Amino acid sequence: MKLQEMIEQVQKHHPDLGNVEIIKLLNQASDEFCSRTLVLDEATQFNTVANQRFYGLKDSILEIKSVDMKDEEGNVKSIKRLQGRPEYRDIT
Amino acid sequence: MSHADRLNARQTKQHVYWIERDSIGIALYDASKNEKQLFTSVSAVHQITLFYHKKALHFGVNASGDSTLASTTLMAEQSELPSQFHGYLVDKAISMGYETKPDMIKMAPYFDSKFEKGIKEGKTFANRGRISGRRRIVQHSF
Repeated sequence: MKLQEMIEQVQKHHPDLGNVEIIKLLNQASDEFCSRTLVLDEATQFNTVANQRFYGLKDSILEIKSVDMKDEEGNVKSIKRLQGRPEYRDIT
Repeated sequence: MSHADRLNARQTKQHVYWIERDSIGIALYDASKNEKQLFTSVSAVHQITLFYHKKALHFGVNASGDSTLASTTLMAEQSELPSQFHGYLVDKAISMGYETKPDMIKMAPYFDSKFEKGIKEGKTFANRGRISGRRRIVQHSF
């Protein structure tokens, strides 16, 4: 369904609402739907930087399912999640 | 496998990740090192692939994060959600619209319940992984 049709359907009930307000409501609904159902999956790739420990995550990421790493021989394998965090902190 | 075999087969070095301050931390865990050097940052360039659940792209925003509110193609945008769930977003928007009108607030729960039905269907769709038939439940002992 295109945005135009969605806006028209909302305006049948709320003719006083403008397009921008309806878009905000639809975006809120979409965020709630995605976070409660976890229906959308995606994968993304990046390269590590030598001696850098942390890499920022996009706001759109809700839950990380798994992480793969390519080793020196070119093999890609899943890496394990650490429970908690290292006792000695390095914030680089 | 005997206890000694298990100990010998144990992997002492492996990469691990964890989430902290909206970032992903990646380090090499080496069980043979002392406590201070148990975790060291990765010293080489490695390709990392993240698999995750995400939020759908907002209407009025493109994939680069720029606003498309003034774009001529705005009205033709479609949600990234599977098409069978688009109607439920409309139901929620209608419900939220009624919530702001004290005289019509009684209409809100009706449309909200339609959205909740969509949530239920969405969870089923996500859990099934687009595979038909019965789901297999694997037992785990904890």
